[in-house]
Amino acid sequence: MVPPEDLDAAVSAAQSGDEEAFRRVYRAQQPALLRYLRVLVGDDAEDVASEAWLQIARDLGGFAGDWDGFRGWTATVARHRAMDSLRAQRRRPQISAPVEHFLDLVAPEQTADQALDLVATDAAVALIASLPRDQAEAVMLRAVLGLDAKSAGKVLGKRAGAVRTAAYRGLRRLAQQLEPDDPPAGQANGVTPSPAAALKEVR
Amino acid sequence: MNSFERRNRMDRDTAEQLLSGDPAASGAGHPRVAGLLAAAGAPGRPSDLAGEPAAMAAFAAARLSPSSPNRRPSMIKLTLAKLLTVKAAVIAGVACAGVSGVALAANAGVLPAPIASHLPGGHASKAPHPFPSGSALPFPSPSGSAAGVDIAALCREFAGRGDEAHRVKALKEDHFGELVRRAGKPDRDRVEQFCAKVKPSGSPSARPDGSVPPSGQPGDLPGNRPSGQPSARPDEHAGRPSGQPSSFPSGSAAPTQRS
Repeated sequence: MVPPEDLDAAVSAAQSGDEEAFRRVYRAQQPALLRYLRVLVGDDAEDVASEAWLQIARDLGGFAGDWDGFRGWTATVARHRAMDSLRAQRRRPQISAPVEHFLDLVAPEQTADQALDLVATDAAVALIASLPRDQAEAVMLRAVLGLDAKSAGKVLGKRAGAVRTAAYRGLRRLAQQLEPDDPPAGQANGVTPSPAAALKEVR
Repeated sequence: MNSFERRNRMDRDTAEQLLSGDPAASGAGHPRVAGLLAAAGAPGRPSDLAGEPAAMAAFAAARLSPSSPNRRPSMIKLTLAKLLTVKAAVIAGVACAGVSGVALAANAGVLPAPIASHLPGGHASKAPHPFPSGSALPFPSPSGSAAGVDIAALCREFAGRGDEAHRVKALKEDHFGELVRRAGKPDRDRVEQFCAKVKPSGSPSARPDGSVPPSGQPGDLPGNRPSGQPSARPDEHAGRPSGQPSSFPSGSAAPTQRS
């Protein structure tokens, strides 16, 4: 991962026309942007991301800010393009996100430090996408795009408190789906039930 | 809610820790949620960057465009320009409706002579008729000359009637009745303009298909009049101001309605 200070400089250099700097900020931001868009528009995410980068490249000269600001701004641009796409289709695509799928892939004892395979990323994004949209967006902007509540609120046109609440509700719902009967911290490592059993309890 | 659920329930502080990627949160009783968020935020993979060439091309294109750094002001200007254009179009549209309405009225002989001679644009011309040369005339398309009467021949004959005075006289002859009727009224300028459209000077026959005349007078080509006023063409506006002529019969209603 590129240190944020370097990316501050890269944003600035890209604004001055430095092509390689633009490539670096693209590579740093595009994966997260793409996942955020997947939550919003499903399979159209790649197309909408392309449109967003077209606009980002065009309007970069008018942007003022550092890497943090750039992440928020690009998320805003991507969201606008996603809303255009949704308006054109008049619906939010249904993303199938079976909990079983994710539970099959993520063993209970896995921690954040452990390397997760590529399919797990898709499954995780799909599961977040199954939340109500305001919760899904809040979770993605904060946990995946790395925005704080205030910046995420700017993207969504909401106050920071509303974003915190939406993200909290989203996580609580995810926890209910994934850990319906997990014991509290301290006992987690010994007596975790099998994912299939957990799923039955959800139903 | 039983005690078991309460113990397991996520609180806001834990949610904040998880969302901000605090490693301590992963051990706070929600390992699967922490794992899920970590998976969702895992580093990018090559397939995520499939759009890189397109993005780089967009960047290169934006750099070549000089207007890109100052986009904001230009957007404001653009919006202003659009607003002005819309306003101008609305004003022009209203004016067109008025003019064409009056033109129709004049053409139908509804208007009294003083009004007809003071139509917009009319004062710029010394010609006695309300359609100064250069403005598009409300007569039928010259292409209609192919039907029945040989208008081109009549035009040639009319042009051969010596000087202006002779031609004005000729307008009253039955022989030129059809020509006058096609031109719209027994007015020399009017008929000559009409003939100019039917048959450019030197052309042996009418051009019903509108092909380029041998003598090459682009200014006389139908539909290619540089100073024409399309707004006054009845074929474009005949339907719109349908209410206008009926409101003019007294001749006094017009000014109050226009002002």
